[in-house]
Amino acid sequence: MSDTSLLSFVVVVGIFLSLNPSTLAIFSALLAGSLGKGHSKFERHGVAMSFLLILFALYVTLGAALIIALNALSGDALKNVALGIAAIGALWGLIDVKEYYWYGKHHDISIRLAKTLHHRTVKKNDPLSALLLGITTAYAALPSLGVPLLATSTIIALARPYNTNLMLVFGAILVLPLILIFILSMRGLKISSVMKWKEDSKGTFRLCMGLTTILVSWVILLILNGSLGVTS
Amino acid sequence: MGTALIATSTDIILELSVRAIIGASIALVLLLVIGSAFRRNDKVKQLLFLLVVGIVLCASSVLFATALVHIRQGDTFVITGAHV
Repeated sequence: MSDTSLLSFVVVVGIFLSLNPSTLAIFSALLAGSLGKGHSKFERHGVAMSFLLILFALYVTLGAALIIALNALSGDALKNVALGIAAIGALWGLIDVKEYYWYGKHHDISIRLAKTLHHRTVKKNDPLSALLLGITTAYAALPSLGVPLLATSTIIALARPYNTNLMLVFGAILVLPLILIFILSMRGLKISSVMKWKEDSKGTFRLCMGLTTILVSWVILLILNGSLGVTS
Repeated sequence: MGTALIATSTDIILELSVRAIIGASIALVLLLVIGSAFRRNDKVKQLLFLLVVGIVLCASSVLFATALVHIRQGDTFVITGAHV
């Protein structure tokens, strides 16, 4: 895997993982809350940009920290840890695939988290609140995005020499659908139609995320068994 | 006169991995495409999900085992067959 193919791989994985129903739902609620409050275009820009920037920064920081932490391990330890991550990734992907068949069964977000989200999207809709909402969203999305992010970081960490800048691309791709939704909403797209689209397709989104996580785990295993070499 | 076909463990691992990945990917795509039509039926849904789990676990196990062998042993030579 050359540097270009690694970059392409990160982009493709990012596209499939960016379709995260929970992030889409929270951002749509934030935009709807902003419209409901009667904010001006400038204020809506401020709220959305605060949210998007903090989310992007958190994804990149977390990913880069994981890459650096993995590279701090010795060669053999890194391989063994990567083996464990790949096993967890394959099982985690199956949980996401389960969501395609039985969405939302057996788990739900906590009432406290739901109240916090409601408070920051509808009641308090300002840039500072959006910034805090971004942090809460990253935390709320951790169950669905945590393992794929860890697996992708592992692939980047296994490349010689490793390149943390790839996380910038990955982070940008993860927030890309939200940026598109924001641009389209500023051009007159109804937030209700975004919510309906998300609601109708959330099972398929989770299937894409699950299969992508399984694929990333398989690529880690291919690197570890010597079938695939990675350079960046 | 006879010739022995000697392959490195890397060759075998590569072949096994490629077969596992290609086979599992084709089976998964077929299952998901065909299965999407029967998603409303609960029994079929359970069966489809079990098949998906089986395929993913089988392919992952093959890849996991080959990766473990590669990490633990490095490169070893294996006689894969012989023409006499």
